[in-house]
Amino acid sequence: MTIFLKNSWAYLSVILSLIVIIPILIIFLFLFNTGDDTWLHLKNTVLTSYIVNSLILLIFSALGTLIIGVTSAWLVAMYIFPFKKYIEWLLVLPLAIPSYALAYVYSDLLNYGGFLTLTFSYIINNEINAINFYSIYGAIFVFIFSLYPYVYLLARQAFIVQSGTYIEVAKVSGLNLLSIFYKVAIPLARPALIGGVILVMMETLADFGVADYLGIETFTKGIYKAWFNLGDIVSAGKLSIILLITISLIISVEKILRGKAEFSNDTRSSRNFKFFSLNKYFGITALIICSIPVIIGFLIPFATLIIWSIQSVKNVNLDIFINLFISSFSLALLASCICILFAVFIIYGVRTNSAIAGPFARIASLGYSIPGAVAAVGVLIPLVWLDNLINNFLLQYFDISIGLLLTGSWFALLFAYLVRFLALSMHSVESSFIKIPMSLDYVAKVLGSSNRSILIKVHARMGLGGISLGLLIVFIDVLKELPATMILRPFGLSTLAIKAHEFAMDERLGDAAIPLLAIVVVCLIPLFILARGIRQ
Amino acid sequence: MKKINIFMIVVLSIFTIGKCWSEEVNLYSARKEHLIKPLMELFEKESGIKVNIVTAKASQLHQRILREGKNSPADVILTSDAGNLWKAAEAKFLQPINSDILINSIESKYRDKNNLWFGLSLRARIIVYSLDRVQENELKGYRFLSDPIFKNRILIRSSSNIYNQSLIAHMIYKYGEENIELWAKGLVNNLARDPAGGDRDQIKAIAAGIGDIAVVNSYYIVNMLNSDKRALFDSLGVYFPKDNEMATHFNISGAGLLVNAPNSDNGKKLIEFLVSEKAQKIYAYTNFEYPIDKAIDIPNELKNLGTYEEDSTNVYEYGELSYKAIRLADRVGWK
Repeated sequence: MTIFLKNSWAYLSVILSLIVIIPILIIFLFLFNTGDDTWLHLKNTVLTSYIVNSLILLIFSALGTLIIGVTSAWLVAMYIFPFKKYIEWLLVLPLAIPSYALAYVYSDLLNYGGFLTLTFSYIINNEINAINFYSIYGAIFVFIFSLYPYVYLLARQAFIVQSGTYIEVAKVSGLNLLSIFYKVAIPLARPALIGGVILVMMETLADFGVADYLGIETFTKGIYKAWFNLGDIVSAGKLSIILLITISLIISVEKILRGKAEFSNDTRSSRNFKFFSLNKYFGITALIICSIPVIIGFLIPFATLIIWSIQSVKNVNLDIFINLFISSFSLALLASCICILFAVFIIYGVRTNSAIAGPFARIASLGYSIPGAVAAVGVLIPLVWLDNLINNFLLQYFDISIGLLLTGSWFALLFAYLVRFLALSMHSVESSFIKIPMSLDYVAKVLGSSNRSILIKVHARMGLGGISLGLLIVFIDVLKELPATMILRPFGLSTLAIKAHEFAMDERLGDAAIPLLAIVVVCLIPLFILARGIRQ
Repeated sequence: MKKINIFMIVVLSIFTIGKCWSEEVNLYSARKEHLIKPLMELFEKESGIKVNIVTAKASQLHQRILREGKNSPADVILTSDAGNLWKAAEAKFLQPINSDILINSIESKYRDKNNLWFGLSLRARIIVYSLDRVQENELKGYRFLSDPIFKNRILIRSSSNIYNQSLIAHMIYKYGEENIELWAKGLVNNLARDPAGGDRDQIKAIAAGIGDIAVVNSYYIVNMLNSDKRALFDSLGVYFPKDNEMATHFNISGAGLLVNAPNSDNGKKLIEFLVSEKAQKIYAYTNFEYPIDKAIDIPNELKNLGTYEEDSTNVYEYGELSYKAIRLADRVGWK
């Protein structure tokens, strides 16, 4: 009994993880049941290109975001250069722009007669053909510039908060900056970097919008095609399992490489960190290097959306727009709060007893790599079962039939968001909890605090950075989410993302720009709050 | 324990209070909201029945209806392709509607023989071409598109789009699967670029000189020719493909009544409304689709597109052969 009580937080963590795991499991158990197997057809035709394309996307997105994220994070964390105070948080802004919006914008700008094509022609004084953005290169470009902020944020956090004293020591010991970078900063930042890259990879794999618009055959498109178009859930299941195994492999490899290293850091404040100064030319170079991702990932798309919106503003119906706005905002807010709550309890449970709670938490975070459409169906199945249960119960004892209660309501949608985005909140919470040294826990225990008060008084406070980050990232992602929202939404609920998508699919990019711009603006609000946090 | 009971009751009541008790009909629509809004608003005004809409891709709606099962709140499903309706009927989602209005307004080739679904408007899949770079005598029907004279000149969207799948299905029905597999291989060889973007992108690409011929739906080109950017498309011509065996491919947008519909009478009223003269005029004059009721007068913009001969195939066939069409496209590498 005492053992149970002692590990009660771990068990709570397990229970919460299981709630999220159920739809994930159902997708697979259910998928291997029946159905017409088109696996051979897939194998002989498109499977190889799915694998090749997805791998290419994965590898190059990971590399690209790593390079951009780490470089800018290092420059911003270590040096002083002109306008660094602004660039520091401007670098985060691409998160406000949905990746599919980036695809719409650049495919248009680089098209025949597109603004960028004309500009390049002018600059090199030669007529150039349209650049074909509808290719895998276009997709890689989009993923790199819309996802690098994940790596940037986590790397920056790691460099600043963690490495402070170590870097000073290294400096005093006479190491030059490059060696400090390779020998001290990067190894210490490894869990953060890997965490960021894994997020990027999962988001790349789960993406549907960009691949669909640019015409790339990826695994997710294959899953979607098999399941929804061919009605072959068995093949969809097989494809999904391959996807998940890939992700699990990546995560496991990272764990093995990490070995037994513990990654908590010193608790001393690093506010007195002495930034390195740069001479004028290096300073400007640093500024330019850091500005490029901001310009490509945020400024150009943002400006384009504004221009398109101004051109189509006459078509807008204000009532409907306000409705959309409120719905999107409330959904995103609710979802992020639920995700953070789950994440905090799960991660804390893992911390108290990682042997019990750990594996479940790992599996629960896999939801992020499941494509939204698949997650939506995975959520539908248990909820309909539950709904039918409730319905039958009420019918039997009270003779009322209320139809579907949970499905077709906000509950189903929020549940799907939880399954999809728990990983995001878990990663942020984990990366900040991990910096709270275990010694603090032990000391608190020795002094008689219960697990509950440790969570409230210590971790929640010290991990506030990670918690806020988690809230933010989930909020933004839910605001941008498309497929799961389309499938599960109740009557009368539409979101900005759906509206934008419908216009874009009808090739009315001008009309799509207004809801897209609204999404960007709403995302900017929490990002500016985050930016304030960064500046301190 | 008592507190939990009270809590549950409160929660459940909040959900049930949300249920409306006035007249309404629940619509699952694969057609986008801004396209059907004028129709739905007119229906609400004339009938006093509120229309609750959920829009999503047809395949997503299909999955949702499948998973929701017998308690699904959906009354009517609206799609923009015959294949999707056929699939809904195959999956036993639909119930027959006995309606003289529907039977009399809609020719039998545009509706299910068991009255499970009904076409509401028509669109042709036609060829738009550059007047400068294409000779009149090069245009000889869909099948001729695989001829090598078109190498690097053809633009068409992805095979994952339902309109292409129905076209392929129609052609399989007419010419046989083997022949169409060869045809599709030829077509893919003739593409000016890998399929990218939607129908409008193909038209813009012709104007930009990337290709000479595009296969698109009729309402897109009508829209573009009547927009404020029409000057860009002055050099484009329109051709309704036809050869000795197959005339122009027409597809329907249509609707069906779901088998578990909670408001089936209202659903029937909605579908009947959509073939009424007022509704058909909205289809024709606002969306530039061809009305299903041939008695309706079409706007000049559609008349200006040209005369045509419509193929006689029953649209039912598009659905039956759609799976074959999808796999064929995969086999020949039509992305």
